[in-house]
Amino acid sequence: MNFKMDSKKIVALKKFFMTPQFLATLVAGLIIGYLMFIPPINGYADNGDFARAIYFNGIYPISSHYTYLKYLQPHYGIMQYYNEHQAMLFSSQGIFIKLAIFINQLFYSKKIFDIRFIGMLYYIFYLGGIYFLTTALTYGTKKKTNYLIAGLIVFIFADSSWSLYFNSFFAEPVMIITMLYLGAAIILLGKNCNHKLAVFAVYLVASLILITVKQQNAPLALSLSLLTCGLFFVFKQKKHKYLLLFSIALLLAAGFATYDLITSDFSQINKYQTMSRGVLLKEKDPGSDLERGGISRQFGLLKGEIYGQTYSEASQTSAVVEKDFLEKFDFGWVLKFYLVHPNEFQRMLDIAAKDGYLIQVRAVGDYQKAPGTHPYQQTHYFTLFTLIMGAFFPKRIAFYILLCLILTVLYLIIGFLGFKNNETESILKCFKMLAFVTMILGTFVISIVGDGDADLAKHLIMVPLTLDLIILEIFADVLHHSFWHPLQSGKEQLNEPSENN
Amino acid sequence: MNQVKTTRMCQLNLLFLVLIFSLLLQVFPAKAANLSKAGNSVNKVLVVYDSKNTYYNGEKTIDSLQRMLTALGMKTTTTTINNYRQGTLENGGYKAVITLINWNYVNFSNQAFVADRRNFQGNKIHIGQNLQADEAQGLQANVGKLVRQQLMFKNDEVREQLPYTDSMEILNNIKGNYLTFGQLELQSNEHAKIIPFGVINNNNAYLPFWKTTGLGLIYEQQLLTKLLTNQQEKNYQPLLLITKVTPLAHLDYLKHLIQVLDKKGIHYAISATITTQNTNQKAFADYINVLKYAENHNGLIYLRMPYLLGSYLTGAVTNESLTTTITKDLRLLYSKQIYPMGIAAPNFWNHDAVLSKSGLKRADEILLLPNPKVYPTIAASSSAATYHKAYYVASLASFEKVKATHSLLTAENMEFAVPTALNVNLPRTLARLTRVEKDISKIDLTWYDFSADPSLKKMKMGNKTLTYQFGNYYVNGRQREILESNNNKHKKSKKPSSNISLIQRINNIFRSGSKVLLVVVIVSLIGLVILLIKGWQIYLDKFRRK
Repeated sequence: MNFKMDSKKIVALKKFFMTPQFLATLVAGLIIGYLMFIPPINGYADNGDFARAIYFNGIYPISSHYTYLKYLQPHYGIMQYYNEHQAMLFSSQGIFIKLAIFINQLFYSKKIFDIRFIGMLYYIFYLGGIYFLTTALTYGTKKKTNYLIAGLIVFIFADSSWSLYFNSFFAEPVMIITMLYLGAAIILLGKNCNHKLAVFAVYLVASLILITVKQQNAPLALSLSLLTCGLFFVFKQKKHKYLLLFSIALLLAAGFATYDLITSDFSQINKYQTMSRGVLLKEKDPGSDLERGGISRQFGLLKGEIYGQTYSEASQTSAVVEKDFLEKFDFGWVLKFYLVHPNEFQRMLDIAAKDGYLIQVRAVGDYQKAPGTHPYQQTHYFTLFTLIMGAFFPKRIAFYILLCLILTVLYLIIGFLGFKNNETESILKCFKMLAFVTMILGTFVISIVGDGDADLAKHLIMVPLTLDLIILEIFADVLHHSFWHPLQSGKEQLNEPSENN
Repeated sequence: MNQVKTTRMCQLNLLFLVLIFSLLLQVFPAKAANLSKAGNSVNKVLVVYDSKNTYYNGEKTIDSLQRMLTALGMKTTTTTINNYRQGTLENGGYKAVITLINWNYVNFSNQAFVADRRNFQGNKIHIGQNLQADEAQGLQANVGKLVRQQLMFKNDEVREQLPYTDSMEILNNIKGNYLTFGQLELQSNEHAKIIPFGVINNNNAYLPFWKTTGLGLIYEQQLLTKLLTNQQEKNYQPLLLITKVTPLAHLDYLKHLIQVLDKKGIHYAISATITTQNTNQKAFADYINVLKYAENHNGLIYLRMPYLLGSYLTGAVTNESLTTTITKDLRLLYSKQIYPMGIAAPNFWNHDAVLSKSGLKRADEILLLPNPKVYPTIAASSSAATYHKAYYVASLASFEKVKATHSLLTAENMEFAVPTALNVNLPRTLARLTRVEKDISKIDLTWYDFSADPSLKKMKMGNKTLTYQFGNYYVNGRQREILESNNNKHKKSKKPSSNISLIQRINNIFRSGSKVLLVVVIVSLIGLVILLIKGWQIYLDKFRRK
């Protein structure tokens, strides 16, 4: 009897081991694990942004041999006494860092923080995301093609340009992970899965974390609210509809809070660069336009400058810069400027589009300091996908707009068909595509309006992330022959219109 | 005819002599530097302080003292009591040691320092409380204590009220042949008691506290000059300095201020920064024009060293990058006919090996601005450099804020023993401009007129030597007129079409081509959508029962 039970268990285990989702997770785990944990470990060096995340969470760089940009720093100090630092921005990233510190103190040291602990945390969540995504994309089918889909997921998401982020204090890993969960959850919800409410909970939590991780993500609340509207077709009970309404309100509130809680110090930098690396950048003599906008012509001389550049003609924290320049404009001013100057806007967007698929941050080194490594050294381990996309994906904003237009039209048709045939999956797909398209275009606009051309590879990460999810889904749908109609209810519903008439 | 020739020859000879003389001048400071290395310098001063006492702005005292010593031509080394190493005083070849007590509640002590100071034969100056027995002995006086007192500086004409003093040490029963500097009046109910502020007794000196403005500053200057230079007291007229002049500043206000000063016949210096980027903008040309206008209207330009932010993105401050930046700045200024006659920088530049070597050392004349609250340290150096002439910069506003029976800014009260500049920040608002204008017109001082000063001002830039004398500028000995350009010159001229290169034209064709392509694609997409809808309807029609 026992033996029988065991053999059953073994068969079930074997089956589980052979599922595409397990294989995808295993392979991705091996590939990423090698990059992150086998010495020499890889990750990103500090470009100065770490300070925003680490100090108020109680970590500090060990100054004696701390280098910016050139080398990854594996060890940090954990503050032992009163922490005087206040959050430079409101971010959900803190949850992950605090958790990592806790695990670090439990297993490693009370005083020294090893960056691999936060890497490990992200790694586990990320692999969970890959498992979840593969499950979602292969849900309800038992075809051999599912292994192909799993292979593609590994090819795209085990790419080092994503996983390098994990051994760092950037906020991007949180975005990558939450996008995986969010995308997977929404696909599963369309596919009429069991435990809908649980999946919805995953979706909601992932969305909230995504919105609150970074100030520039605040506008994503709008796209995600749109996406949540699509769920009204999935959840039909009244109490669920109230839940959805509440969720939308929550998302919008989170977006607003993230936008509102940026501390002034942080927005000063962004505001400064919005002008110097954005509005002023592509104009020959921006003085007259500034004057028309109520700002002294002299500030046109800041064109091209970086906040905190080594030698500067004026103190960037002086009253002149703060009162006569930074306080004289806001987001609306910049938006209006770009609307009046579509040519400058297009040029800036083109600069952004050039970086659209540049996920790997080139400005910082990927290695820790060791014999045989040199400053700013970049790893090329498992980066084929981003290499191909970086090389061949068109680099003009017009292309992105066109692509978004085509996707919108295509999925409006799918949504229209779904509406007609009462296929909730298709309707949800349509909402999802609308949300994703607004995310892509919105990200471009917000990075330009919000910080000029500074740090584009990082600011635009939502673009390749969203595009990759779209590519994966289209690929899976085509393989499953479920692009126009969902698998389950497709055939019999197709004939409905003719019978009705 | 002949006479004209001879006078011209004479002029040429004179110029030649001037050149030779200026060359010689350059050699001498170098020799002096060598001497100081050998340890025989008569101008080395060691400043030993207890604490920065940041909470009570104690850094300001250190900053002020350091600048005053540099302005006196002293080569200053600064250290804390704790970091003092035995034998430093003896082996360093110091002329004087200054003990600065910044935080009297904590009695920092270092036996090595106390012993070395006791045996030191040079000048000893003590500033603040905690006078040691040997110091009091040197001053030939008994030390008394004053607790909770309202003090006033008093001279023949004016009384300056000081902030309430918690505790202070005073010298009683001073014996011997001593000198005093300034008088302090104690406010008490019974009778007014008067005690000296600064005291010199032989080679010992004492100041009960350090002031960075008002009469206190003047007495401190007198005391240090007397003790350290042994020279007859000199009187320097203050230089009016306009600070915070940057390309981003309000140029109309600057021009207005220049006009006001010019009208009053006041000579003034401007410490200005420059940007080497975006020089094609009208805003840049405007800035240059205002500076030139100043040069032609009683103004003298000093290059203010760039603001240092040293961020992770743009690289560190190094000798190389700083040299490049300043050389670029100077070249640009020269090409625009702005001839700076010195450099202005906050004090921390002078106490930093990189900043003083690659920055300040280029100039003969330095304006030493007070340190900002936060500043970067590139290569901390305990010793500061010396210059041909360095000015101690104090803010005019601080003098105006002094509570006195009548303004200190009158000729009688303001006789500086050290080269001093009084600075006014360029106003940001109209209200402030009016205020500054009013304040300056009220001042009853004779400002330093550099155009009447026979001594030559000189600045080297690569192979060019800029000199200034009697209101004229010379480049390598040749006089230069400063020509102000008209604002109209900077026109928004469009390049003629013939200048567009073939490649640009091809690019333009492609650019417009891509737009055409975009329109074609959009039109065909719309067409496709219409066809799709039509087709769908036809498809549905097939199933409809007719």
